[in-house]
Amino acid sequence: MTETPRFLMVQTSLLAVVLVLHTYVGLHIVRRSLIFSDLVLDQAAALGALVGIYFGIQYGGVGSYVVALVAVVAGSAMLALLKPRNPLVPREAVIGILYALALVASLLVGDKLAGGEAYVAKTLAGSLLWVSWPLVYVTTAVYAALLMVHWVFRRKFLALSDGTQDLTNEKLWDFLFFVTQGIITVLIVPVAGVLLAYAFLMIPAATAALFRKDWLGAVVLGWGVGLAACLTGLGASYHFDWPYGPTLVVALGVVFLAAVVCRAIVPRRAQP
Amino acid sequence: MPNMVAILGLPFLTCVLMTLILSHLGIHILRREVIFIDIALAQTAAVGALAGHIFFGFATDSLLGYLCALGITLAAAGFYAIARRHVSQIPLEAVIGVTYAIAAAAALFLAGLAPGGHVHVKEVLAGSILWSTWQDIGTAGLVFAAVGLGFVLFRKPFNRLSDDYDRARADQMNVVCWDFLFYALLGMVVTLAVRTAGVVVVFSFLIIPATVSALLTSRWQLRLPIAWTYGIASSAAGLLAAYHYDFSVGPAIAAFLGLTLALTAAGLRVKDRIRRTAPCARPAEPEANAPPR
Amino acid sequence: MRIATFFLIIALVGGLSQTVLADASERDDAQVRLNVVATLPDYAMFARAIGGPRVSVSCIVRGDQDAHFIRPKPSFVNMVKDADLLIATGLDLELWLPTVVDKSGNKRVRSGQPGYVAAAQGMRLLEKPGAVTRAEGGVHIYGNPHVTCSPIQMKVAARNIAAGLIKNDPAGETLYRENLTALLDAIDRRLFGNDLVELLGGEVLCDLVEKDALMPFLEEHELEGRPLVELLGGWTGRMLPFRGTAVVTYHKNWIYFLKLFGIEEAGTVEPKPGIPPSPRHVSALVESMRSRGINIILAANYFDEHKIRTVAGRVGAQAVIVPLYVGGTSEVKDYFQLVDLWVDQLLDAAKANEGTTKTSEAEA
Repeated sequence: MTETPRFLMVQTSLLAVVLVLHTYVGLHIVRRSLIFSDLVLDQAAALGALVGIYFGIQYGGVGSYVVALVAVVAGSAMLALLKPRNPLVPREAVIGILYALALVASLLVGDKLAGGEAYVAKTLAGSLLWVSWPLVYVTTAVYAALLMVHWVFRRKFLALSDGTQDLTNEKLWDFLFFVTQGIITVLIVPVAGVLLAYAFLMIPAATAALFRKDWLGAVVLGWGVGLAACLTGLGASYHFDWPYGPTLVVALGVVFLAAVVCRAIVPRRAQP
Repeated sequence: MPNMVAILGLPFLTCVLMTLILSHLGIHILRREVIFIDIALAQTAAVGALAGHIFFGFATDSLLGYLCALGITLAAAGFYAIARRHVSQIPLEAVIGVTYAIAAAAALFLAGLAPGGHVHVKEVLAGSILWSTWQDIGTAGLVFAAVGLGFVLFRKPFNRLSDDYDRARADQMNVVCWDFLFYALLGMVVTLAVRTAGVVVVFSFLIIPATVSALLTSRWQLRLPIAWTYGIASSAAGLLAAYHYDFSVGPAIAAFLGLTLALTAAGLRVKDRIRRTAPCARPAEPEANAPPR
Repeated sequence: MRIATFFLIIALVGGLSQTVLADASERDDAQVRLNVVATLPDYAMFARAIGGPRVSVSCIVRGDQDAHFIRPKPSFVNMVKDADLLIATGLDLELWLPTVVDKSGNKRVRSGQPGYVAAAQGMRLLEKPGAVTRAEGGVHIYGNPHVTCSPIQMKVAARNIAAGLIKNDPAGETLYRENLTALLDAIDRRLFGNDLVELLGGEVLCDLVEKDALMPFLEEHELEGRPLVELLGGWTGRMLPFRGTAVVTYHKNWIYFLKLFGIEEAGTVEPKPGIPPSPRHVSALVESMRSRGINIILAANYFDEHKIRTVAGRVGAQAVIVPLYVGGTSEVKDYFQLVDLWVDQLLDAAKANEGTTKTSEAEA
């Protein structure tokens, strides 16, 4: 098979698979207003990988994923436990500071690596261009498993965000949700980079949430819009020789901004 | 020793200037509780400067470069002011979070068009405080003083808006305009600071000293001096550490800001626990236990 | 709260006093006359070889770093502050250097001053661009600056370094000239083998190489009935099988090396320095490698190994990832070992390719 069609097929498959679960998880996050906490986890994964490189663990290898997972778990713990009692300090401040410090730590570790700047830029911009079929298969398998879990227990998970039912074990389901988020973070950040991973999670979901209140419709709308934006970005990057990962984020971003403008201009109709 | 002063002297002055103005802005920002607008604006300012450099060839320390960056930042500020007013289906935080990611990606995108991209990326994030010049400090002093003056002049409307947005809206106050003005002043400072210090460092200076001072006191008169002390002390420590251990200056300073915050918070928790378990506890001091709003 | 601030101030004062004490520098050997700072490890090695005990040499860039993109650190400023002689390539490779020199306040080693050596002065350069536009990726406007890859270019560098040493320390001239001659002779012998050097002399041979006339000359002329080619040894001799073939490189570091040994550069993975390759470029490169049967990718070891191996894997090529400078790996302690390593690894890769081709032919 010649190179270009192969490349396009690998990318399209990966994007289509990734966006399903990310849109769904993203909707939870938008509806529960946990927005910047995800950025903290993404950056923690990147920091973990960089620390791994410092200790000789190759980026993208199994060891790298393990270190990233440890970092993400530590980040989740800090997010859950660090709640300021002082009314003058809003919770967002803590989250913002955690993100800034994770980024600072990444830069400091990068200082001590040979060629550190390139690695830091790589964790941010990702290396989606270089994915191969095995990675697509693994991602599909893991994501399918997660989706299965969330489908089977959908009433419990959806109740976390809707607040419609009294959950018996709310903390448990909350924790399982964060575990889901952690797993997809650890899988996707080494491939796509911090920014694109965050964009995959937030943008289709936020765009859909502007227009729909139900779950299934929002996931479908988000997936459709997200995939269309990404494919446009893929085409543009290929045609104009633009850097691949950042182009996808910018494409998703343009769609989101347009949606916000539309929403602000067009008055809200009565929702079903 | 003379070597060190020669190398670190100007950077230290830059840090002092930034602490003075950014801590003050940070205290306002904490009150308004929309923290992430700052990092989004800082990132937008950085992208604006980079875009000006790449598309129009503006030198990074030129007036045109500054105006280009400022223009784009103000456009973003306007966008946020309007979104806050007109978009209610998703929280404003979501809009800000997404625009932050877009701005960061735009920086990477632009950096990917020019050679040595990853060095630009590093500079955008970590800044180049070490290479501060007298010219940088002079410009910064002027702009920061002007903005400080603006805050003194407009403090009443800003306070009204910070304390209760919805009531101000109900009182027929032109919230979009005042909001925009606040962010415009913030933008002027941030755009200039980001040029030298980078996005992450500016954000750290904005939020962390203000947070530390909030943990220690609720008396307004004390908050600013405390924030300044912490900011300046952390800058000095960060500069020394960067000098001796060969780190980038900006991140080192931000790391010390974070460290002092962590130590202060931990120290307060320990103090709290000790006082709780003490048999004859003194009546709670007004500083540490502000009544919930 | 006040107590905390108090302790913080104490800590700061303590830290500052430590710094004052630790900053006292140590003066070395009384024999040392010149404090030399080089940007690249290869120049540092040459400066040591020529300067002998009269110089103390330090180096800014590590052997496994990309010299284009170095983050200037405070320690560089200190190094340059005390330097009597600064050696750099001087062709807009080390763009970060002027900032460091300015901050150090050392006027003696500024570009154009007697304390500055432009190692590439007088070299014949390749790839001088016609028009300078950003579209080329901010390409080096004087020509390709990666001159350390060719031993012949490095001879010119050695001469420039020696000239710099002599200008700044005239008393040591005899020693420097002796060491320079020895170094140049050693390079010639490693390049061409002892026989040809003793027969024709290093200068003649290098001259022929510069004119692209070496191989025709060696094939035409004979000694005692045998063509001179058979006497060719050293690196050029070992690299004969590669003459006329093509390789792909990761970046345009290697053009002087490739030209020296008659190898074609059939493409680069990352054409513009520091800009990650775009999807279309990578696809085109892979297809070109397949159709032309190019099966070696040569890369410096400071690049992203994952990308190189991915491209190599897609085409079934060998990835030759080597240090670009002295000290880039722990085994490479001088320039001769460095070039030896390059030649060895390339020959190994060619052998591995032969093995694969034979297996696939046997299976076909």
